[in-house]
Amino acid sequence: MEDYEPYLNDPADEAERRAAEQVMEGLAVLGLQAKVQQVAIERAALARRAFWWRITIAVVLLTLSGMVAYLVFGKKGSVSTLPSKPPQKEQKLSPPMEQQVLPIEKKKAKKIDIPVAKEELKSSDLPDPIFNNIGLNDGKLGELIPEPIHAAPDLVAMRGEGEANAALKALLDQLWYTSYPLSNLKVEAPYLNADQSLKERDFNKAYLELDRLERVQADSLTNQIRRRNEERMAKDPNYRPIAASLNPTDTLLYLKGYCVLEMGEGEEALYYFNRLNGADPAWLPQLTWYRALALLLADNRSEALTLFQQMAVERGHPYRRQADKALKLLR
Amino acid sequence: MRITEWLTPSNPCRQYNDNEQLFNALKSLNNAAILCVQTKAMPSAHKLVQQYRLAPESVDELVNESTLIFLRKISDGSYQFQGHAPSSYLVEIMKRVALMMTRKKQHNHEALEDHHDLHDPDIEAHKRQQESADLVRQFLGQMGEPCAGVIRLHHIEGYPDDEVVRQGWTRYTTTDSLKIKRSDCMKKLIQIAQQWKITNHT
Repeated sequence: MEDYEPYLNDPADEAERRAAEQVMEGLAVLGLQAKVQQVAIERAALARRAFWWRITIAVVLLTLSGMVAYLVFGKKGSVSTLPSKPPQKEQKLSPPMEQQVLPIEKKKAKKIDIPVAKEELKSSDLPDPIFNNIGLNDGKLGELIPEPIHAAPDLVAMRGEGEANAALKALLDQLWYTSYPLSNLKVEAPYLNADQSLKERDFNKAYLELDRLERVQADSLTNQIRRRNEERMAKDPNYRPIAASLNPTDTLLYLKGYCVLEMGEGEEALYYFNRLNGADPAWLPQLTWYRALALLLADNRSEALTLFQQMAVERGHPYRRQADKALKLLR
Repeated sequence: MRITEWLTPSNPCRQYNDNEQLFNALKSLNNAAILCVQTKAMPSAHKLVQQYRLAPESVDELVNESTLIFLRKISDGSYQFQGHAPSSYLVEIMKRVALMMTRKKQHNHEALEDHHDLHDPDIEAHKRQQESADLVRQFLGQMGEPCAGVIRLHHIEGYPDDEVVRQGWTRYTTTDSLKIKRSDCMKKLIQIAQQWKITNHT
């Protein structure tokens, strides 16, 4: 227990010492509680990583044994013994989008997509979250939209190995066009630590930091409102105190919404995004896309479809082609 | 070390060569060390939850509550290193916490009959400390900002003063002004606690 002597009156009586001891004990326990909570989050992340690590090892071993079996038996003309790959691996190794599209659709896509893409580049200054990433903005227009750079959150590990979770994960993997830094969001102190963690895609660390900042802001606001209520009630006995509403800053809401989205928490992400109604209009295109992804994560397909339709028909919307792809996949 | 530990990516136990090293890291509340003992004790936690017929999702609660008692016993010196694995001590604590959870939920009456003496000094001390923590949380709420913030950042979250100043988490721009403010706030907090004791004993 930390020394409390400097905080005591001189001379301190027994009652004051006992109170100080209790305060230091309470603070120590609160400190340990915060530490244990922090470790619990790390433990959950470690468990998820361990799960996927073991799956990967199992797949590698299966593939190796399959190859050995093929080398030993395959050349003798017997039936191929290559094992079928598990669904997770299949999804990662799935052929590019062009190969998945039927020949007729592919021709249509060629005819339709090129003029639209050119028009967008001329008419809109908004950055294209896909083409920026792969450097295709220099006139070499892609005929079809490339696959997302990052995989969707691991729903199978979080929610169990149900068929629905695997299917949703497969769908989201094809639509997970997310990127950081967020478009048009200027990040300053006190969000620099969280910003760094989000850049490094360390979402657990970013979550801890944002959660702490949210609590600091909430405490500060509640106390301001309580103080104001007390002052007004002292002046006017008929004054009805206003309820303490906790409104963190828009930056915090957007960062935390994005962070929990990347952690696979759709409903929690919507909770933060929905509180951003009066936010900077420049955020809106990307925010709408992230809101649609969060709706898909939260199994709310009908509302997600509405948002994808809105984005797909809006000229110059930076996520227009992604929304188009989402509509095709969902239908 | 078991093969499953080597099959785990970024295994938190890998950096500790022996139990003494692990114990010393636990004393300084190192996250990786805490994670290491929890990982080692996790299979026992699952067994206890089954044995005491607790809800499967209470494994995390069991591990967290037990870790809290375990760390408290290390920090107040009542658990000293004697060559044994720290995780085995954590498992011992888990057994008693699981029993307390069973008693609280009254799910397993047979197990209760097997344990005639339900009074456990560690659990009692844990409850008392939780009460102190709840009271301090209440007092901090009463004090409001900036006192609650400066106390929480140092005493609860353990941030060094220079980090607090650098990040601009409070309105204080030098470590000296932050320390002076915290000292004033701690005096106020102790006065509130003393006042509370007087009010609740008369």
